[in-house]
Amino acid sequence: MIEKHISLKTYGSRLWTRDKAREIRDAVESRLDELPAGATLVIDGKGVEVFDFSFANELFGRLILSLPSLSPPRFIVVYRLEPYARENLEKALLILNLAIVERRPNKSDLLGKFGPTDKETFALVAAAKHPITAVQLAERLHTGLTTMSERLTKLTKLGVVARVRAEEPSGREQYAYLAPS
Amino acid sequence: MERSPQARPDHALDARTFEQLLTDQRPFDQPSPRIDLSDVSFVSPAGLVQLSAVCHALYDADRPATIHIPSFTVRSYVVRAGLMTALRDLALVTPQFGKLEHASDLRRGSNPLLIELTRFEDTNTLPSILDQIVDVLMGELRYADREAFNVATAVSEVAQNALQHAGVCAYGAMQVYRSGQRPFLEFAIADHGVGLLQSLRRNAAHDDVRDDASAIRRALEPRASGLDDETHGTGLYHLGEIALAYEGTLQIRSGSVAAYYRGDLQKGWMRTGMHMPGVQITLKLNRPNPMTNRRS
Repeated sequence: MIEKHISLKTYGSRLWTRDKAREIRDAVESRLDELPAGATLVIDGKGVEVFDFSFANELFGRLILSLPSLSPPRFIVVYRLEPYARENLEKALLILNLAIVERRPNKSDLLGKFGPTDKETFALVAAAKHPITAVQLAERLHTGLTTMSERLTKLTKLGVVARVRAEEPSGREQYAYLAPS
Repeated sequence: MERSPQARPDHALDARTFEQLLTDQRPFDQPSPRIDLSDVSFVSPAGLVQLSAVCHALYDADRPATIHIPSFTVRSYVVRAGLMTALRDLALVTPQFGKLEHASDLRRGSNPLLIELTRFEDTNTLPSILDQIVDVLMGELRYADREAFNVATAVSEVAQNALQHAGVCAYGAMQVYRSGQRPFLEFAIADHGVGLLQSLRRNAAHDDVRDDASAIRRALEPRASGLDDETHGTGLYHLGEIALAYEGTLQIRSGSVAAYYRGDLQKGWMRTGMHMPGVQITLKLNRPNPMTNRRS
């Protein structure tokens, strides 16, 4: 999967205010626009000691809210967040009822507001090597198709998974789901 | 207006006693407002910023105030704290400075505050001030980085909130008090803008908010903003959470109501007093006890 990185440290080791976030968001959105379908923009937080809640809301909150409407779909992942910055981001996302994908050493996980079933479903989509259908996910998680569809709708609205068109072995088109790894 | 005979001598002008000053001296009711600080022995950051906001509001109403500070000690202190610079030509201080105590000479003394009284016109100066707060707290006062970041984050949120919603400038100041059993810091910010009620009612979602008291309560809820924007309205909420986590106190004044919250007791009170334009916020945070260092 194609991915590009952007380092927040480029903008400073302490990132204060909504105005600063607005400036950085313009750059991030430009980078995102350049990516092909299904690609991931990794926001590297290494070296950024702190950002305030207004910064987190303006940068990450707005980016997450824009993801579901991106066409073709692309992803945003955060990576190597310093401890205090991570705390503030998590708190900000909890209040906004949003979540973001966080890349960790062993796997990707969700950060922010989500439930156990969201985490479980996301993990399975992220672990799949190819787009996976709601039917396949429902079978693996031993849940009904309607329930699984609802979970996937929620994760799609959060921008942590994307719905894509895939081809069945029979050649018929169907919807499947993709997540950043 | 004559001073109330009940005024206490040698008291600090802080967030609470400023209420008494407004009630006793009624500067907004006077055609030529005179604010008498004869009985004041010390001015806290809250007193400084509220004094500044009052003076700016009166200046905008074409009734510039005179601040009477007979005590040389207090006058010297407020000058060094930045009062003359912040107010510039908005108010007059009496008695006027004589040859031996010109304001610029007094100013050469060290700033007694961690952050001197500053007029914020926009957020451009905030980052450098916030960095200064972090550096001083960590460097000189040996706060853990987490505590220093928490303080700076709280200051950042309340300052941005004031500038965003007031429609006018804001005044901020901060001091760290190291003596006593448990050191604490006080940050205060005040504006003379539209106030929380009018600000919230710009958003139809808050049409049910009808008075200053309910405006303050609503403003402390997450995502309550005068802007119809999902990413706004969390600043005061996070401020309240930080006050709670550090067992601090938070006073929010808007219009004619002051709300006072004690994080250690997890209780709040409201009082109705004289109307003052804008929003005034005072945050006091205790120095974390290393054994009980916690953040929710």
